[in-house]
Amino acid sequence: MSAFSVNILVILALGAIFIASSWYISKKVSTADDYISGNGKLGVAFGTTSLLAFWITGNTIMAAPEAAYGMGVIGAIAYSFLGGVAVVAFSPLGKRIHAIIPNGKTIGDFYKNRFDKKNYYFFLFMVFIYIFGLLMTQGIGGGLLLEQTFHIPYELAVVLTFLIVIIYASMGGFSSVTGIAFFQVMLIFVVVIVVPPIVYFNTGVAPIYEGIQKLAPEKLDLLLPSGILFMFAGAMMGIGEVFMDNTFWQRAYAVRKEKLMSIFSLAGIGWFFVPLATATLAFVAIGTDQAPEQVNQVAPYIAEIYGGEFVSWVFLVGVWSALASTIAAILNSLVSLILNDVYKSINPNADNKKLLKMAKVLTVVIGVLALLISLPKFLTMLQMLIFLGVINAAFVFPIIYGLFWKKLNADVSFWAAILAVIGGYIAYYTIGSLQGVVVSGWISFLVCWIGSLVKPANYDWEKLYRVGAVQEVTRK
Amino acid sequence: MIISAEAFNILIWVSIVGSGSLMFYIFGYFLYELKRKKIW
Repeated sequence: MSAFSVNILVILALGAIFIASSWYISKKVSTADDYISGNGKLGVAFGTTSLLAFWITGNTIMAAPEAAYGMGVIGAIAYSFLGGVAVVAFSPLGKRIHAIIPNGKTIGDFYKNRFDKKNYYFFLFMVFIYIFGLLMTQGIGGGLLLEQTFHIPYELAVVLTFLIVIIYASMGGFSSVTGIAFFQVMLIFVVVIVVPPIVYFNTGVAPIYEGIQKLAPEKLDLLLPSGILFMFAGAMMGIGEVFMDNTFWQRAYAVRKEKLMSIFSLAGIGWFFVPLATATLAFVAIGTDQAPEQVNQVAPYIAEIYGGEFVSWVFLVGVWSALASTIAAILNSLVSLILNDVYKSINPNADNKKLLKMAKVLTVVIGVLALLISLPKFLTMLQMLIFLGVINAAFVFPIIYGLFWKKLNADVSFWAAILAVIGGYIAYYTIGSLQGVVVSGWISFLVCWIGSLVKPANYDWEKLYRVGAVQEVTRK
Repeated sequence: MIISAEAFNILIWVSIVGSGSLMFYIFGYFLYELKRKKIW
């Protein structure tokens, strides 16, 4: 049997397991709230893995070694720093979210009630662009990855991945996505703890270090300028993505309040170690002077050389699990946002049955739309992520100040986000892409801070506290 | 600032052992929460 056929079989078998598990989990989903955000009782195991599943994408497993191959040791550390710091930084925010909006469902609940209509609609517009863009990057990035690395034709890879995810995500919504994420993350962990040791037991660490010293000594430099820039711009991008992304807000509402800090901290630690461990495979490529044609294939390339076909399949299982879990989480997050912040505004009297049906229809429609737009493969993953990073960075400080500082003025917050997006994209096109992200973050910070000192507001937190209760009364 | 051979060695094994420890910790928590019916 050819490698291509086996790879397809691996994906079909995994897909069948995910769908069957989702069918089982979906039997406990009876309300629209269960479908879009859980019920605030998610434990440490599922809470942590649902965060890791979203944040560790198939491309993360591939891109971390790519960063290490290009920038050496500091590239590997910077990539891990990017997400780890962001997820850990979200834990105090998550605690605050639980305290001041205990009955919220999405980030839209916060924006609608903390600020005014112009802020809310501008944010919704930008967040839809961002989440849909992210969904496409996963589809396109995943298709390219499966094509280049595992010899599955691009179109087949995209169609197969999206169809399986749409089926299992539409069955049980948030409950299915988080339940299956646990097993997907366990599979990713298996890859991480099995593949690098097999490679290093074959090569030894000392010969690799000596090889890098001889062939590319600059890659052992911890102060390599490109790596340092990547570390700081990447952290800003990561923090922006996490703070703005509804996926994280959904989980902040869904997990048990008393376990929130440990769940987010554990996920942050996981995000630091997992990319770092896979990135170490790139050191072998540098130290032994073995490079694949496409630099993003460096990890599976090295894994296959030292581990053979079996390790290559183990890698496929991990990469595809990571890919599917991220697409499912983003899809469910977008559906939640549309259902809670758009559909409920249009149909405030819709009953639970109608909401649940609409959530399932939206999952299928958005999933198919993302599939169709991903088919032409017109952009690359990293370019799109950095492009969207400008938007993410613009909303970091309206969110942080909005959660903790009653003086943040709604007008100031609106202009901070707009100016940050404009300034960020000017810097993006005139100076450099990563600089655009940093400029956007700085503008967002300075305008929010100085503007609110000059024109302070006096926000009443009680308004946010009443959010869920007000919705219940309205629905009755 | 060049990373030393010892630090390089530690970086590699700590990342692998760290990932493994986290996996077993989360799996342990899963079994514990499953037993106490506090998964969801």
